[in-house]
Amino acid sequence: MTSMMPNTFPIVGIGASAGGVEALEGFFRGVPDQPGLGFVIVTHLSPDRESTLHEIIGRYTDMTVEVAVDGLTVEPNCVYVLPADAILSIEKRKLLIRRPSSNRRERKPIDIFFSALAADQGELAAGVVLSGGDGDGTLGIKAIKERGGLTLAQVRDGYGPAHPDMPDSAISTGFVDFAVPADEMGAKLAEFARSLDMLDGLAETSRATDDGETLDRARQEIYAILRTQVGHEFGGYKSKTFLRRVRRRMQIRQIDTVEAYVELLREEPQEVGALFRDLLINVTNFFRDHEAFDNLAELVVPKLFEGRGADDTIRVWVPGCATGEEVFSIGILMREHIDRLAAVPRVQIFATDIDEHALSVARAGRYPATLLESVSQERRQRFFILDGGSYVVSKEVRDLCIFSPHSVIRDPPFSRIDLVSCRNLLIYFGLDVQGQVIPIFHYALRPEGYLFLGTSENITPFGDLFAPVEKKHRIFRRRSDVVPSGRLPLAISGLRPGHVSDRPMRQPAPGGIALRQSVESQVLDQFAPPYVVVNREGDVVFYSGRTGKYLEAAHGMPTRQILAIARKGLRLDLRTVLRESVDTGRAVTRDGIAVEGDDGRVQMVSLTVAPTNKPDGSEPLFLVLFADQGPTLSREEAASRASSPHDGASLHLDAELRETRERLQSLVEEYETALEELKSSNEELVSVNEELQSTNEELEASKEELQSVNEELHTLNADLNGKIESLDRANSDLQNLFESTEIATVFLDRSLAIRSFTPAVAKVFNILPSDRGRPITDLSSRFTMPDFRQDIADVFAGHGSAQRQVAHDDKAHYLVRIGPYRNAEQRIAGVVVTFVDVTPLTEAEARQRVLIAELQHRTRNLLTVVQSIARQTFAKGQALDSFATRLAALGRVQSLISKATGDVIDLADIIRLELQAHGSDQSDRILVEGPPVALGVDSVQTFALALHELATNAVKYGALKEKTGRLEIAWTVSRSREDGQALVLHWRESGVAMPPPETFDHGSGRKLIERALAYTLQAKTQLSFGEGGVSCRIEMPLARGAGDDRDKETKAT
Amino acid sequence: MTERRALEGRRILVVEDEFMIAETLSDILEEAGATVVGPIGWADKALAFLQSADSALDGAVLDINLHGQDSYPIADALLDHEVRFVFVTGYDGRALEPAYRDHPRCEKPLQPQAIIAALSPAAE
Repeated sequence: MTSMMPNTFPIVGIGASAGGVEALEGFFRGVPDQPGLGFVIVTHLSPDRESTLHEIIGRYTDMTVEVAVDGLTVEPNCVYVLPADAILSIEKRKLLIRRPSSNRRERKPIDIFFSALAADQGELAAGVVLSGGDGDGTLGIKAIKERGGLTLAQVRDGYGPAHPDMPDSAISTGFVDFAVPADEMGAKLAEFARSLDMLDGLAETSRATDDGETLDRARQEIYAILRTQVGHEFGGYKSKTFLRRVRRRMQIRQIDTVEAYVELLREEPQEVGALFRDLLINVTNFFRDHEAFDNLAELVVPKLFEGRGADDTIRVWVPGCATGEEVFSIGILMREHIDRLAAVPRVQIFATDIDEHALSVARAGRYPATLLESVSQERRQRFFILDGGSYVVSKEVRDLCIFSPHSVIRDPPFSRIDLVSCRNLLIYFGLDVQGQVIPIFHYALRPEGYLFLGTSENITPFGDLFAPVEKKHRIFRRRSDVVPSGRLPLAISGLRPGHVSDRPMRQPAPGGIALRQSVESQVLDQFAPPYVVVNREGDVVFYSGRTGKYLEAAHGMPTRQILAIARKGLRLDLRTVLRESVDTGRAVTRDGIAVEGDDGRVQMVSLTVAPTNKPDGSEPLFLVLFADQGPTLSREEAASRASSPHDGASLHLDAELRETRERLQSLVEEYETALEELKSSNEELVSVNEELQSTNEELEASKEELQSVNEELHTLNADLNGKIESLDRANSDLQNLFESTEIATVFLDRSLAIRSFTPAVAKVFNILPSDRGRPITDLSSRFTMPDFRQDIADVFAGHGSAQRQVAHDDKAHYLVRIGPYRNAEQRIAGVVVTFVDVTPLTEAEARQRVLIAELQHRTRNLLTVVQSIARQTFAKGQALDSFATRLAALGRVQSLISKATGDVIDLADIIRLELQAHGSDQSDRILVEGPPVALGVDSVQTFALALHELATNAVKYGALKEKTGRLEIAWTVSRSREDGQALVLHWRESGVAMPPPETFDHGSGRKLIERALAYTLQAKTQLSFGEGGVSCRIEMPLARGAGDDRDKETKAT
Repeated sequence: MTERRALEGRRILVVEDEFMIAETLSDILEEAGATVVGPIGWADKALAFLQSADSALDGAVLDINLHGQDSYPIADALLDHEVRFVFVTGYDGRALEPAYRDHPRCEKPLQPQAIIAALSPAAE
């Protein structure tokens, strides 16, 4: 095997799938520090997901954990994790990473890595199968075991397995050394690493030391045990390999010394079987034993097809097919032969095994490349499809094969089989079970059918049932001229494959009493009556000498059935006596039976049937003794002797007896016919069973398809859920948008039916949520929209959106916008109508229009006043200066009006502003005094102009001209007249030296004061020119034209 | 240009609330030879005048806004008496009540010839 370098260490492949994280946690918790191993983890990962597995594992172990990269050399005490979307392999301790060619997931990454590991590392490989949901790893375990590696699989404990299918499948192959909980694996592996070194030392030094001699002796003893118990000679094996396997068993059984192990072998036949299987381990790869298969193809397959037409069926049975390599190998041979034929018979290969897990691996027909080593390139191309890292058996071969669970020993066998191929199954059986199985094969085969066994198997005890065709490669042909001893059991219970007989093979007892034996046998031979030994069915298992007098070869096929070979006259009594003895279990004797010999003479015989002293548990046997009574007689003598005592009455009895015998004979024949019919019914049932099995196959395949469809649906569903979520979000956004904007929006389809609307629409239409789907024209609107239909039609015609303002009772104003609703194809599928409440806007517009009209009115009035002032001023020939100051006064009033809050102006402001214009407002010679009085803007202009005239006059001629002059402006509000309050204002000048009478700019000023105030403000004015200067009293009503009428003014002007 | 004294001998009522403007209007009309009646600055006074002295008016000049009151009742009364009148106002046509929009109207500032022409017998 692998050359052992001093610095090598085992590499552990760990396979895990569903539920693997917990299992890995348990596994690494159980690994001791510095175990001296390299770990490689292969998992089933979804290719589109970045794995954080290495981080997770890093939490449970102190070893370096890294994601595997291509070309990385495996180091001891390190953990490598398979990266996502990769196929991992190994060569010369370097990890190799391939990307799968298609974007499909590799289905058997564990098998691929394990088998590569086995090929690369041999005995230094260890495979661990943890939790997972399918059969991946099973073939890998077989590959590792075959090359002498250590195999482990997880059984239930605190860390799972959550999904036991994968480890269970591996365990059921029988190739798993340790089926233990995940956290106990680490210790086993560490021990494995240590024991390898020890093993080497052991093997190398075995010849040189005393210890080595012990070992050698032990080896010889083990050879002997194996020879006697399983009948196989291992003397030709390499001692090193042999010892290594022994050592492995010792390790597994936790036995330290070889001597103890030899002792164990003596005590436990099961351990002999386990060692035997380990030694012979021979995974049935494709075309393993090339020569044997070549011989099969050459010698057997063409014969099977010989003389068969398209209507015929060729039936092949592969019992104990395990994971199917042997089945498919034969299938390929058949298919290759079929290619050469014109008329193709139907080929059925029944592959059976008691292990369901193995069968599902076989059904999948998916194998890692290493298992195909012995398959020629041509066959690979023709019969396999490379899918990711695995090879899948092509459908044309798989279609030939029908897999079903079946026990060779327990279940009724198949029948009418042309070829039974049973390689490396018998080695699992003890000699006694083999003794059952080979006759079963004989029964199952057609006459001239073929039997194909494994190289280390033989038909030794049953050489009479089969004739060798190719002895070296164990190809045999059924002999039709012999009937197997014993009836074929339809249901033999108890024994299962894998169990070696519980009874150790015993050496014949040593004979200290040999003399007695030989004497006794001589007595038996010479003096004892002739006898035969039969089983309960009457089949002879032993003849004594000199039985020819009572038995003769029957006509037809050779048989050992005693009833068939008993001489005439004996049969009837023999049947009765045998039956009685079988039923009662006691010896039964019948005397005076006349047996006619060949010479025609009659011998009276005493017949005794007695149960033998049988060992417990074995089949009951019966001794049949024939004892002569008196000499032989002639027929007449016999007849007379028989009849003499009875005479007349006996004749009648004789006749009756004959009649009864005949009836009995016919009953016996009917019974045998019925038995035949039962047999053929049984065969029909078997074929029905086969059909059911093939239906089951199809169901299995459908189930797999359903599973993958289901997976796809799961993904799709997750996808859809995500989309629904985002739709929900978008929908809720829209909902909130609609509700918060309060823009009434209605979505209509082509027939103007309402598809949806926002809550604000209720202000426009009498609408209810149940109105969805009704045409909008059915609903009554709160206002009329005469052109509504036309506008919608225009939008549908592609004229773009329409916009229109509508009013409801002049109170509510809406801007109606009709826009196209475009679907995903950008076609107009409806319209969107929005109603924007523009009532405030409309009202503001109306107010603005009133204000503009008013402004225009005031401006034009003002211009007219200016026009009048100009006309008055210039008509009187006054100076431009005078006009200018009047305009300035007018200007001041306008500025007061524009600054006014509300429509009123305080009287004091007017006075102050006028005085200010003359630079006299701060003078201490001027006294201004009065309560606040609000004047309406209408009144202000005239009043201010009148004040201006008074002030101008005072500046030119009066109190404001001279330093001595004083001015007092005082007012009061008093109740006067009948209609309300009145303002009384006094303008008094004093200290004016020479007041010129009647100035006021040629009278125009005075006219303004006296008449304008009266005319416009209904004031009473008294203007007098006294001693100290001008004095003026103005009394005007406040109620009318002043503050009280404010509201009315705003509205009407 | 109209005739110099186009309103010779005609009695024209002036209704205008603003003293300066009323003065100017009166001057214009008198210069054109008319006899000015009024001027009157208050709507109720003008109505009262029309009730009492319906004595031959040949025409009227009517401001629309009189101290915040509109002068449409006066206009109606003048129409009843079949007195020809012209609005003199700062409002443009759209601000008027629809019924009076088509009535002869002179916009402020004053254009003497237009007023005279509107009231002159030649325009009848």
